[in-house]
Formats: sequence, structure tokens, C-alpha cells
Amino acid sequence: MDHSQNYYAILGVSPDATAADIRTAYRQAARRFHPDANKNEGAMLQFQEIALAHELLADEAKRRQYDAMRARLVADPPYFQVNLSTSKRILPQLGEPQVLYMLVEITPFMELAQGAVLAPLNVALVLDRSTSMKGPRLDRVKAAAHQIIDQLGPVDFLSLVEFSDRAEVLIPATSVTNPLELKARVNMMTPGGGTEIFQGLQNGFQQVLRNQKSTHVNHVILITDGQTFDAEHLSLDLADEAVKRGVGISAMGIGDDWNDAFLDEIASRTGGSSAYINSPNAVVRFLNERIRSLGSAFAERLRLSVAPDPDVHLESAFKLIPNPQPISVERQPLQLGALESKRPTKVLLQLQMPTDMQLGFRALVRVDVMGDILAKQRIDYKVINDFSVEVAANPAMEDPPRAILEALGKLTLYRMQQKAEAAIQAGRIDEATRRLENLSTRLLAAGHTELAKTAMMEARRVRTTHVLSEEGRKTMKFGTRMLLSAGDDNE
Amino acid sequence: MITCTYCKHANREGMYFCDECGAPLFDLAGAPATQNLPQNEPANLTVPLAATAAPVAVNISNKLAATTQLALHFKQGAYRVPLPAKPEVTLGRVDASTNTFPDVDLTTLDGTELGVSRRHAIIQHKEDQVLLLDLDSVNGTYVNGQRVLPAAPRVLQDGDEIRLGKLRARIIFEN
Repeated sequence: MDHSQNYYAILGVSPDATAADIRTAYRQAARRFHPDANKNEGAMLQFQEIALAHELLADEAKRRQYDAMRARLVADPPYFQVNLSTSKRILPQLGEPQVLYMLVEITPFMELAQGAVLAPLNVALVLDRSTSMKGPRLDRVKAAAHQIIDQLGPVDFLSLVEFSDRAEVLIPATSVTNPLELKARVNMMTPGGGTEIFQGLQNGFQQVLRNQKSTHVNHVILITDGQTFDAEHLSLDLADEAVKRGVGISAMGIGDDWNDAFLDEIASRTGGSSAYINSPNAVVRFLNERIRSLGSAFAERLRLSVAPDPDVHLESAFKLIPNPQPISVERQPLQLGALESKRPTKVLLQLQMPTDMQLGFRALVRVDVMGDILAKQRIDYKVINDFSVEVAANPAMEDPPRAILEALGKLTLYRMQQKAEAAIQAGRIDEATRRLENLSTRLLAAGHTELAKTAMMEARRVRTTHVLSEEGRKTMKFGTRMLLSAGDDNE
Repeated sequence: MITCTYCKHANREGMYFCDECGAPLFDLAGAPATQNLPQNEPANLTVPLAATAAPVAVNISNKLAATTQLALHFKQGAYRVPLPAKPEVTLGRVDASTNTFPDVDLTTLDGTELGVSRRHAIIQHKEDQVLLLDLDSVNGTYVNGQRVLPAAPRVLQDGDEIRLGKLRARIIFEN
């Protein structure tokens, strides 16, 4: 039992609620989120919390004890706020299902965020030294590692793991007090061997665990250029374990031979990010950007739990900024990684609403955001939001919020590319060609000439050879994804 | 359901971009949203091509089948050129010196004077739709007065006016 949590808020009652109020509130909440009634993944999580709150507050002795504990705790100042908006405020009553988009914006409170110093990092670099890294790739990776060492200081922890067929810890986790010595160790990396990512990740994870602290950003950064020879599920299991221990994993792929779906999945499960680096020269920039983003963390281990009402279905989630990333909705809570002090974190949810809804106001979804406030050492700070919408027979047409429309316009491009890929894998070549042509049209209309050309070339290639080029595929996938962050960087 | 005006895909209510072709659905669905977007939007916002080029379906009921005969009518209908029954028909001007032999030669219709390129455009006839592709022609390809960009195939409706450079034609789906 975590006494810093506000169980009154979780149950949706005021602190002076009577026993009857608590009973009623519990019944209502159970109707919304009990697993028998609500098949949404996030509802289960929500119900566990509610049941816990009820158990505590319904028992008079336990409630008294909890109240006494709470009285002694200093009330939390608001650390971050969560703002929810939907594509429509008033939904039409329809005899068919309809889609509703919801934008979740998480913003740190200004006064706190402005005075924020750089977050201390506890980072493991896991670097591929397989034979294919020989030459400029490994050189640039080393240069990038040097720059990172320069950026870190005595409060930070760094470790370096190199891997090929097996993994070796070149720099055991250490605070960065002697940069020259660390750089010399980086230079010892020599190319050779195959690619076994799990070995590398596991070693990196263990190094991070040595100094795992809730005041730090605990992160593993993997750089690879190849498909892994070992079983991918080992690495995915490791990612799940990492989340439990508060460690994120980011993955960067150099060149065209690595498995982007696999690295995406690792990143998505841990709240990290994944990136496609098409030239060795870009390695330094990407890695610096990642370290900069981690270092500007105001809160870490940001988790979003989405519990729609029983008749509402959560179809998909996509993190728009920072580091655009699709997020699998099968695993709740959704891992969002770090909340930067100067940028909001935004997630777009796609919900499907049922047919023939009753007129009037109705509950839509409960959205919880939890995170660790690094500088305040406040673990599991939580903001709870219950969101309702109105259903009307013939609502007036309303403008969807500009932010949702813009995000959707860009997200559509990413999705078109994903669907084209799926069509190719299923052998539906005509469909894939058509989708790529459409994508090219849309990209051109949006002024992304280079990506449009790539899509057109790939459409032709698919028509004749029935496959995409790896380069074209990754360029389109990560190119369309990056469009999402393009507009927001200058906010 | 919201039917995409561009590709006819049926989308669920509440969607803003076509699931099939990515075309914006909002102004086509009647919502006033698009008008409210500023006109001088920077290029990074997805400026809907199809929204501006919203094809006013001339004759939607006209059934299009794989067997439909397509024909181009030139000079206000004075000349009828049936298109050969193949999936892709190239339009242009014959030029033996560069070994260019398009399926439809527009030289005799003043193609040279009116700025038709040797390889100007392609009409694709798929089972359920007819597409017009510009082949990066010098003087451009237009449908109902709107430019068809080289990488952006455009769905043709029965009766659409096509312009190759300055040569005008009308596409007719004959049954």
C-alpha cells in the first residue's frame, strides 16, 4: 500500500465521504472497469487500483490509519498537468460505430521546470562491433561515444558494452571523473564477429542496474547495424524486465540491414525511442540528441494508463513528441519514457465509439499518468483524469482541434506506409503499389518532395519485383515518422 | 460512413483522413473545418491536394468495368480516339529518331504546336478506376484545370477534361 497515493481520488469521492458514498462510488467504478464488464486492457489495471482503494477506505480502522498517514505527508504541489482533448466535443448519435481521437498532453509545471537542472544520467552504451561495422561506422560510433563522455560529469554514470558474437564490458559502470581514460577505452574497440544483440543488451542492463536510482535517468542505448543471430524474444523479455526495474532502452540502427520492427518493439515496451541512421556521419548527431533529450528529463518513467468505458475500444496509441513512436496498446500502462522540462509529451489515441449511444453526457475514458519527478525524488506521482463527452441527436458541425488535425495528417502518412508494407508481406502486390502511389501523392501535396520520390520509386519497384528496397522502406518509415516531430521542435 | 471523394473508400464516421488513400475527408464530409485553416499555411502542414482538387464527379453512376471502352474526344468532340484495350496506354508524339512510339500519337491533332511531349502521360485502366499519370512532361498535364503532378496519379471520372500542354480532350467511358 502506497500511502502517497490519493485513494479518495482513485475511487472518485471526497475525503469526507461517508461509508455509503464509498460503497456507491465503488459500485459505479466496478460497473465501468470490472474485468467481467470491460474487456479493455487498461480497465483491469484501473480496477485493481479501485479495488485496493475500496478495501482501504471501506474499512474504518484502515481508513483512519491512512488519513493519519496522509495528514503527516506534505501535500504534493502540482508537478505536471495532463490535458485531454477530443476531435469532437459533442458526438452525434449514430446507428454505426464512429471514431473519436483523443490528444493527451502532459506538461511540466513551468516554475518547477524552468529552474530544472540537467537530470543526472545513468547510461549504458551498448555498441555493435561486428565485422560489418568496420570502417567509418565504427569510427563515427567511437567519435559519438567520445562526445558523450565529454558531456557527462561526476554525477552521471556511464558504462560501455561492446558486442559481436559475445559481449564484453569495456567500461564498467563508473561516474565520469576521468574522461581521458574512458576515451582511451573506447578506442580499444576493434571490429570483428557477428551480431548477438541480447548478449550486449543484457550486459548493458546489468551495468545500469548497478547504479539504478530513482533520481536518475536509467537508460540503455543500443547501436547496431545488423540482424541479431540470437533469439529476438530473449531481448524482448529483457525489455519487459527493464521496465519493471525502471530502465528504458533506446535503439539506433545504422544502415539498412537491421530489424526495425524488433528494435521498435524494444523501444516501445520501455518508453525509449528508435531511430534509423542512414549515414555514419549522422551517428554523432543522433546520439547527442538522445543524450540531450534524456538529460532534459523533468520526470522519468512516465506511464500512461488508458481505461476506456466498457463499450469504448482503444484502437491505437502513438507518441507524437518527443521522439515519435508507435506504442502498442496491448501492454498497459503505456510507457512514455521521459517528460522533458521544456517540451510537453503528446500522445494521440484512437478510440472507437459504439453504435446507438444514449443522448446526454456519458463517461468516456479514465486516463492516469504516473511518473517519477527526478529533482524532487517524488516516486509514482500520479494525475488522474476522467473524461466525459456529450452525445446529441444532431450536433452542429464543429472544427476538430487544430493540433489533432495536424497530427492526424502526418500520422496518416506513416500509417499509409505501414499498410503498404503489410500488403507486400501478405503478397497483395496491386494493393501495395496503389498504397505507395497514394502515399507519394500525399507526400508531394504536403511538400515532402524527397520522400514522395522515394515512395514513387518504391511503388515502381514493388510492381516489378514485388519487394521494397530495405533503404527505401526504412527511409519511408522513419521519414514519415519524423514528420511528426518536425512542426513541434520550434514550439 | 464517410465516402472518400477521391477514391470512394468507405470510412468510419469521425475519421478525418481516408484510411485507403490518405485524402482529407473533413471538408468533403461537410464539416467547416478546412475553410477555417489559414490559407497561407506553411508547407509542413499537410495541404490536402485532393481537397483542392476535389473531383466533381460528373457521372458517378456510370459503371466502370474492366471491359469499358475508353475514348478521348478532341476538338469539342470532332475527333474520337478510342484507347487500345490494355492496362497502360501512353499518350505522346511519335518520334522515330528517339525511338518514341506512344500508343496514342497526338501529332496529327497539332500535338507539336500545342506543346505535347513525346512521352507525355499514361492512362491506366484498372478494373475499378482509371488513372492519369503525368510523365514529367514539359508543359504539364491537367484535369479539369488542375495540374497532375508527375508523382501523383489522378483518378479520372467519366467526362473529365484533360489537357496535355494546350491540347484539350475529354475522357469518355463508353459502354
